[in-house]
Parts: sequence; structure tokens; C-alpha cells
Amino acid sequence: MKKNNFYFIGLPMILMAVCFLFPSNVCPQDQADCLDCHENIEATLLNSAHEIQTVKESKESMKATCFDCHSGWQKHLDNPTAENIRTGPELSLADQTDICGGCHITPHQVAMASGDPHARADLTCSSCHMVHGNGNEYLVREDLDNYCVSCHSSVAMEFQRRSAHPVESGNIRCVDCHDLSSIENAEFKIGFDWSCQSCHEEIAGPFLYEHPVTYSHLVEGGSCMECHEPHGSVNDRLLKQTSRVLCLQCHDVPPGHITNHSGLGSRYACVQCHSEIHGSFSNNLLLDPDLGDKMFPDCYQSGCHSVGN
Amino acid sequence: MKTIIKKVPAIFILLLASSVSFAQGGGGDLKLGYIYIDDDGNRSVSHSSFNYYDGPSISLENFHYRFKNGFRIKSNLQNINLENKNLSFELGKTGLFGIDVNTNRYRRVYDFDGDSRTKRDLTSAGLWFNPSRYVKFFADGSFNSVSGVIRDSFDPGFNAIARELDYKSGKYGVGVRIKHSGRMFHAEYNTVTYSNEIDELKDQSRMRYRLMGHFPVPNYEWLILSGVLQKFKTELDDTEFELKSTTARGSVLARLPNNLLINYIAFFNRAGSDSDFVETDNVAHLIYAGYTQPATFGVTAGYQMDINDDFEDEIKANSYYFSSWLKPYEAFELKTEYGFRAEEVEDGFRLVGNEDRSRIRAYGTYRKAELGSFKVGFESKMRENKQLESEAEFDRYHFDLYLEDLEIFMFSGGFSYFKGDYENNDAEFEFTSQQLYVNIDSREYRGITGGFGLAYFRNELDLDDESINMTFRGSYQFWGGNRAELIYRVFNFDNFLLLDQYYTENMVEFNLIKSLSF
Repeated sequence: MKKNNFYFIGLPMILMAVCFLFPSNVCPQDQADCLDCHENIEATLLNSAHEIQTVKESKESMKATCFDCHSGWQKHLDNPTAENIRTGPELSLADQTDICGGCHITPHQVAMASGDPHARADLTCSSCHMVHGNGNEYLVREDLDNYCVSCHSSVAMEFQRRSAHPVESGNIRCVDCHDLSSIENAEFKIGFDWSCQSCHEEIAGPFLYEHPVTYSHLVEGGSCMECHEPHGSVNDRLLKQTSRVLCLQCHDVPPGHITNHSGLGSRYACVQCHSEIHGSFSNNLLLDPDLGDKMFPDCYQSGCHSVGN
Repeated sequence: MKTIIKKVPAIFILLLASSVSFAQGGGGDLKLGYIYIDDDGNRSVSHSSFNYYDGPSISLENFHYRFKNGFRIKSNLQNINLENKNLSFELGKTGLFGIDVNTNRYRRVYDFDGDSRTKRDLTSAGLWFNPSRYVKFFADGSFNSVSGVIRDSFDPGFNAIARELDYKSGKYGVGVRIKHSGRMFHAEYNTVTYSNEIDELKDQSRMRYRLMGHFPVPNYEWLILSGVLQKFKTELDDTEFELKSTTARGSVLARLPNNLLINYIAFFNRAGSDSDFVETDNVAHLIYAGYTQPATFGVTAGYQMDINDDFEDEIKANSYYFSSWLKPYEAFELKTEYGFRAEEVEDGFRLVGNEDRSRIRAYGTYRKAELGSFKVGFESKMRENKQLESEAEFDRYHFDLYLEDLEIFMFSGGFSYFKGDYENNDAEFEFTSQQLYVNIDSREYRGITGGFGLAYFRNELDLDDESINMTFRGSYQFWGGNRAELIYRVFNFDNFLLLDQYYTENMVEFNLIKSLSF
């Protein structure tokens, strides 16, 4: 497996380089005739990348022409009916990808057109973007930071739970975690640079002693979401379960921990002692480095235990 | 970075002043307000209200300005004078360049009186430039600072010892994207520095570079190749202790006649750290096939096989995926999705052993033009681990109603019922959760608008708590585009098992809004 890197990396790169050297051509046409009838359409495109320009100008800039998007214009000029010219919203994703992808070849567009769940659910470019009459950033239909929740209403509710990421207060947005410009992790959560560590660097590691579940590359691992609900949770700290029960989803309780303190965990949560739960620099049991000082008042000064007992 | 942020208002005012001679148009809302807060109870339990501060506030919201030469500025400066300031500024010209700067603050409270708290400052800036229509250069940077006192226990029943937190991180990235006639090549480099003021042992540096490509095959444009190569490394400054990975992904997408689509993806990741003393390979193969009958019917089926191999232990997984959508009528849509994943320990040992996971989702939506939509759905997730005798099951039923085009008001509302059941080796955690939300906004009548919002939660079984967040809002328009706005918010949380977990906050916000138009 280790010697097969060429097949995974080298060969695809060579194939792509070959493809890049032989692109197909697009031939824009003059569009003055369009505005004779569609005289108000120019205003709907003002100051956007689709602003009406002459063909010469469009060749020199990013601006598109009518013909780049609306094919069938030759017949339409002779016989102007709605049926003989192609318009966006009623087209399938594949057809819209052809139109928009002529210019908008970005990782986002590639992801949406291939493996993205939105594509599989019959959502197209025009489901979220509107070309005409829209001055919003990226021509998103509504100028909202969290436009996504207009469809994902259940997720919107999760952000109002007792413990939640601060989307409601505008401190983070959906796209801060859901990277729409990423195509490599559309189906995977494998890898190190997952979203969480962008903000929570202090628990990202590496640690000398790691909690394997936090590293999804390890056989034990499933990453942060094994324990946390990222949008919002009924429990504190975005946890899936309350603390005592959470650890037991993977761990048995060591016999020494079942004490006379009215049974397991009735007094102390696991993380009271195993406080370095994301990883430790001092011990492989992920124990609090100051555990001795911390426990002293409760265990020893209380009179229940003597030092050395 | 902080200097840049300090200069942002000056740059903004300069641009505003200089724009008069060649301005094309713009607008925004200048808002002067006062927020009054009265609260009682445990300040650590109500996340919804963490980031509100009382006192006078100044904001400039949704400011936008377009110049005749195509330059645009856009700005959102919320609560400029308060600790929860949230500021963003953009300057750019479509197809040529763009600059944006953002900063915001957030606080998190950890104890009853709010003495243990952390504050996060996040500032970021980005720049992109198109020297030609085929090439885009971009760069970005951000600075993240967190300080304060945190309490480590995540169970509210325990009185955890406070711990000081103080760290900073800076991220910087540059890249280029080249595109031409449906082809794209993208390269970027990112670096991160992290410094911990409490424990310098944790100081570290990270770097990542990523190459991406997307290329239809010449003369066979229906066949599209795409791929990614990524290297990532993070290293502790003190000990040069390393965590690193190499990732490669390649895919072939075939768009066949009759709206048939087949997508094959191969994935390879090799990762290792000095603490593992092993390297782990993740290899995966996926194939998806989809068929679409435009505006009527679509179906996708997929299979994934992946191997996780750290040379001592090996886990193999098979996953199956199926989804479909159906529109028997233009107004009605039905969507279903099912996924199943079975992980098996092929070689060696894994703490959690073999594991099965499944998910099913189904929902239907009815839309009526000039009225709104109604959506009802069901979702179920399950994880089963026979070795640990652990089983987690999570069901959700929900419905949402939107009435958007009524003459008098707009309505959105919904109800969700959750049931979560986590059965572990030694214990069980079970909860039900009911969530209700309502939003009503009236149409304007003689300059007056009103609105009401409600979010209600009730968790039961092993949990027993309730929260109600309500908002009443009204505004009156006077003297042209000016408005007076009054908002009353109530946050309430009660935990009936842990009686010190209660909180009530009443917040009154009054704003005078001057609508700017140029």
C-alpha cells in the first residue's frame, strides 16, 4: 500500500495536466439585439459579474454576455418565444452546471455538481443563487449570513438549544464550519484539519498522550463529533450525553472506581480527575496534572482519608 | 492586525467622504439605541443571552455604496461601542478585486455569578484579485484571541475548579486559482501559529498546502476528472513533536445520456504523529450512480468501501447509500434517504470493536404559490456496538409551516419531537425533547409593524428542564425613512432536577433608526 502513492497522486495529476492543456472553446456573440426587447433586463444585472457589456469588453473582463447563459438565441432572434431559448431555473442540475460551470469552475461548484448531498436532493445552482435583480454577495437569493437555515429549519432550532454555537449572535456562520469551497471532504471526516480546530486550537493537539477518539485517523477515532453535537445540545458543552454516561459509551468502569461513595460517579464525574480529556502532556490516563492539590481538601481534609491511606 | 482594525473606521469615513463627487447610489441604517437588561439566576446556563450587554449602542447596519466606476463598499457595524461589537467591511469591484475585514467578540460564562468567563476576539481579513478573467489570486489572515477563566467540569452538578485560559493564534493563507473553459486548477498555502500564554509547551505551528484540479476530458466533455492533493503538518515549537498527514483524492464523473450520472471517487490519507509511533492509512473507494427525470423523479444509490490500517490494527467498513426524490405534482415533493455503515475489526484490536450505524430520513413538502409551504419529516439515527453492549438511537419528528405571502402578516412556525436513547455498558441516558418555534411579522400599516417570536423547549426523562425565549417587537416609521423600534426579549431557563440551574433575563431594547439613502 505504501508504494502505491504514484497511482493515487501522480497519475491523476498527469491526467489532469493533459486535460488542462486541451480545453474546449466558447464563442460569445453580439448581444445588442437582446436589449431591443428586454430593455429592463440591463438594470437587473448592474454591478454584478453578469453586467451587460459589449462582446469586446466581456473578452477583456470577467463579465458574461447574454449568450453565455441563454443558448438557442439564434432561433429566438428569428422567432422570439419563451420556448426556444434556454433559461436557468427550469433546467436540471446537469444543464445548469453546464451553463454556470462555463465560468464558475470553483471547488464549490465542483462539489455541488458531483458528490454533494444538495445535488442528490435535486437542488440546483438557481435554488440558492439568483442571477437577475440581485445585488447580494455571490448572488445568494437572500442576503443573510446564514442563508442555509431557510431550508434547514430543524438545524436552526438546534442553535437555540441550551448549549449551542453562537450562530444566533452572529459570531459564526454556517460556512465557517461547512466549507463550501472544499471538495476533498464532502463525504469524509478523515483528516486533521477538521473545522473544529480552526477556533478550538487549544484542544487540537498534538499531545504526547492522545485520546484516540479525537483523532479520526486512528482506528479508535471518529473525531470531535463522537462526543459533541456541533450545532447545539440539550446538555452542557455541546455534549451528546451527560458527563457520567458519555464516557461509558466506549469505556467500562475500572473496578477501583466503584467505591463506597454511593456508587459510581455519584460524587465525581470522570472528567473531574481525567480533566485532560482531549489529550495530555503529562500522563496516559489523561489525569489532571494538579490532581493531588485538587483532591486534597475533599478527600483528606474532610477527615475521611488520611494521607497515605 | 489590531492596527488595521483601528484604522477601518477612518478608511470607511474617508471613502464615504470621497464618494460624494462620483457616487452612484447606496444606503443603510444608522442606529442609535439603548439596551436595558435585568436578570436573575445562574448566568452560566442560558447560552442564548451570553453575548448581550446593556447600555447605549451605536450601529451602522447594511450599509452599501456603489460608485460609478463599479467600486462597491459594504459594511455592517453592529454595537460599535459595546463589548459584543460585530463589525464587517468590504470594498471591491466585481471581477477585479475585493477586500474584506471582520471582527467580532463573544463571551462565555461558566459559573452562577458570571465571575468565571472567557472572551474570544476574532479578527479576519481577506483579499482577492483578478489580473485576468482566468486567474484569481487570494490571501487571507485571521487573529483569534481567547482569555479568561474556564471551569473544566461539564456536568453542572459539580463545582469544578477554575482554570485560567489565555491563548492566541494567527492564520495566514495565500493561493491562486486558474480557470479556463470549464477547467480549473487551484493551489493554496496556509499557515497557523498558536501561542499559549499559560503553558508554553503547547505553542505550535501548522502548515497546509492544497492542490485541486477539475478537468473535463477533451472531446469527451461528459467525462470529468477532478482531484485534490493535500499536505498538513502541525508541530510543537518546544519539542518539535509532529502530527502530519498526506491526503489525495481523485474522482471520475461520467454524465451519461438520459440524465444518468456515475461518480467514482478514490481517497487516500496517510497520517501519523510522534505519539502514535505508527502511521495510519485510510483508503476508500466510493461509487455513486444517479438517475434524474427532470422535475419529476430522481434516485441515487452509492457504495463505499474503506479501510483504516495503522499496521497493527485494521478496520474495514462497507457503507451503502440510497436517496430519492419525487414530485408527483408540482406543488408536492417527497424526499427519502437511507444510509448504512458496518465497521469490522479485520485485524488486531479496537476498543469499541465492530460497530454498525444507520440513518434514515424522509420528509414531504407542499408548496403553494402566493401562500407558503408546509413540511413534515422524520429522521432516525442508530449506532450499535455489540462488543460494548452499547446502543444509541435518536429519532426526530418535525413539521414546519411557512405562510409568506399573506396580506396582513407572515408566519413561520414549527414543532419538533426528539427522542434520544443511549444505552451503554453500565448505564442508560434517555431524553425526550419538544421544541416549538413561532415567528409572526405583520405587514406595515400606517407606518406601524409588529412581530412576535417564540422558542420553547422541554426536555424530559433523564433530563427535566424547560426554556422559553420570547421576543416582542414593534416599530413606527416617521419622517420619511426614519424608524423608532422597541424590542422586548425574555429568556427563561429552569432545570427541575438541579435547582440552582435557573435563569431569567428581561431585556428591553429601544432604537432610533435613520435610514440613509444616497
